[in-house]
Amino acid sequence: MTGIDQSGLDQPRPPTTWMRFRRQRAPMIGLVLLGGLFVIAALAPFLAGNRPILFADGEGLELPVLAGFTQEDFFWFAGFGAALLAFFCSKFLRRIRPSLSARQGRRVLCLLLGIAAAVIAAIGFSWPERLVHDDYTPYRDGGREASLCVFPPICYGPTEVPLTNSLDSPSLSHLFGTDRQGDDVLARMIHGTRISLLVAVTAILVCMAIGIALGAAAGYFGGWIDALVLRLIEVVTCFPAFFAVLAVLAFLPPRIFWVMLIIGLLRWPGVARLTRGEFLRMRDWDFVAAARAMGLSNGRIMVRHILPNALAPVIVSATFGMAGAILIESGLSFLGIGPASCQSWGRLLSEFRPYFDVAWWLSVFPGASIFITVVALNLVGEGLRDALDPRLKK
Amino acid sequence: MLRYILKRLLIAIPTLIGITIVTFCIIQLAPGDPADKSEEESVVATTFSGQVTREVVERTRQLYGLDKPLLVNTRVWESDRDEYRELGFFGRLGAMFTDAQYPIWLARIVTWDFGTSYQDHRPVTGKVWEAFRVSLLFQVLSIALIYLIAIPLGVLSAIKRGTGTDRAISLLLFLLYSLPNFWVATLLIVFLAGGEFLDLFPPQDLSSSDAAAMGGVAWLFDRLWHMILPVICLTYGGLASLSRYARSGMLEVIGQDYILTARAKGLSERQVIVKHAFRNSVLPIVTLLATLLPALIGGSVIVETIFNIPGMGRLLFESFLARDYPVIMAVAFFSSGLVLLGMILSDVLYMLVDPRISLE
Repeated sequence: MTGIDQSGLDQPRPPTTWMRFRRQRAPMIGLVLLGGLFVIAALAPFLAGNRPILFADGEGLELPVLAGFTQEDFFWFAGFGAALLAFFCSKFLRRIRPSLSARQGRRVLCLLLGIAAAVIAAIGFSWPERLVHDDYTPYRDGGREASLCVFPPICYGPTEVPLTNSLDSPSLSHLFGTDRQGDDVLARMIHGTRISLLVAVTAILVCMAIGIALGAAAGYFGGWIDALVLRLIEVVTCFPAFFAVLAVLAFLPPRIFWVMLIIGLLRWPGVARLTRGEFLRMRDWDFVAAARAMGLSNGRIMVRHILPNALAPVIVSATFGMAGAILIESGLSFLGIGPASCQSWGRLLSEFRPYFDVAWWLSVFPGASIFITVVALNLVGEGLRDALDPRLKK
Repeated sequence: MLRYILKRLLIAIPTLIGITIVTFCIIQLAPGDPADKSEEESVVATTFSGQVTREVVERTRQLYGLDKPLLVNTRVWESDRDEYRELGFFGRLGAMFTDAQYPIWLARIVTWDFGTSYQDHRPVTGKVWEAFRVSLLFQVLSIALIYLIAIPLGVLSAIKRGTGTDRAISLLLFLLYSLPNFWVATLLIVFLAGGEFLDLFPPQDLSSSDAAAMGGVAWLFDRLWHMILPVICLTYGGLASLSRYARSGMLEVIGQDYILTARAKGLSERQVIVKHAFRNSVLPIVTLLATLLPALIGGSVIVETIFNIPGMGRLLFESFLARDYPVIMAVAFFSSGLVLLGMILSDVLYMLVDPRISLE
């Protein structure tokens, strides 16, 4: 296409996936919800915490939130910032250099993202393990005065354990009530957002890596590879997913990483089946034959020629898979399986369970946040399906 | 037909063996075994010295064969082991593949011997059968309910395609599908069963504590009363996919020429829908049974644990906590076998209801 000058043509361009997606109302709501959840996860210490954002008492302006950042806080905050920056950089780049082709633009973007990732990793992994001793709660509770003290909107830490205000029902000071130890439920939920999102993303990455690799090999090569992969798919599908995750987790050291890995390891058959179907369909098409006639290697044909065309259904199923991963993770945590240190929403529900009889808010709000996340992901998935493959829409 | 079924059953055997190998490796490679458990308990319970408890652990391991390798016994080639000394080359070769935990287990289950539970020393088959009966009751009920509710909903939204009814049904089912079932279970208990709000249903168990003294009808009512909440939790999630299939199947059929013919003949709309369209569109849905099964079995772990129902899910959960290998293996074997059977059954059903699909 490079040789033809298309700028003079007045034909309307075919709508892109994003343009088709944008037209649908419900999936856009889902996307906004999902974006909101990522913002909440990235900015958790600024939204809920017992350390002021701005603090001044005589000697200059301080930022106690930043001073109290943990490694996890930094990774989320910097990662989110880098992603935003990359997005606006690419927009800016297209504006100042419109001659840049989409491919060159992608290359620059990848380079920028790579540099950002390296910098973030370098800082993050050398993040000092500090214990912050200064306590700002007297300023919040009115015990002490400062000239400037701006607390986050939810001015309670997730694990303060004040042991007062135990099991308070929702009120203006504690919007979602308090738990047994008197901690603010909303603050704990805000800090639990990260786990759910992390589980969803990691599990689906694992699942897509395995599913695409095996499905592509099975569909492209056929023969005994296909037979073997099909049998493997059958073995894993017959294992009721929840059941198997439980089986593995009961015996592994409790780390959230294992939860993600195992959910990914159990949910790849769906992706593999879709990828296999697409590869099987396309391997005899003319564009593949042309690529082969050019002497390209099998690997290159698979990755550069077939895969981009086969990706649409996989992306759609990945979005639904993320919702499924969140449901499995929270169900497991609810049963008390998995790491107790990870304060995910399911873990909160599990911890609150003995008090459900006397405190309804403990059961309603954390569960509602799981529900909303799952709804958002499913909405986005449906929107993507309709946008990527208009034929499917009825 | 018979040949096809036989062939499918034969192919299922390696799959089943694969599944059991995976389960076996997962649960046995992980740290901790029942002997460890009894060590901890005996340390707490008695004042034995560490030496004695270690001996007890070792003896327990030998008793259950936990000291043997998992899949292949390469120890037969080590010259310093007494137990293999008299064996010749072929004897050792044979022992290499038979004298390990998995082959021994496999040989036993071929003769339908699943061993006894580590926890209460009852035969595993009896335990699993008891739990299976309970789970089966719930599963049959909820599958029946799913079909009874989802298909009319799907057909209705196909007939009223594009209207508010269609959209409302789609939205409702979509929301139901996204609800985490453990959350629904806890909300139902909190708001409908005891707690501070309504007290309409019993929050737990299969029947009341005084159920044994009740007469037949009263007992049945008590049992049904206890089953309502769990069955709701098992049912609502499966509605969405089934009714979506019913809807698209119905839409496809409504577009066919013979429906036009039926309308042209002057049949009433009701007759066209019920007699001509519905019957043809509903057949393929029968075969979706197999896709419902794994989700139901998996979902039952949570629901049965929350409602304290002695079914397969809870049995599995408790066996995991106690590292009760024979029970875990038996449950994994039976449930994956059931799923496999369901898959074969649905393929066979598919061919039975639609002769256009060939046997191969």
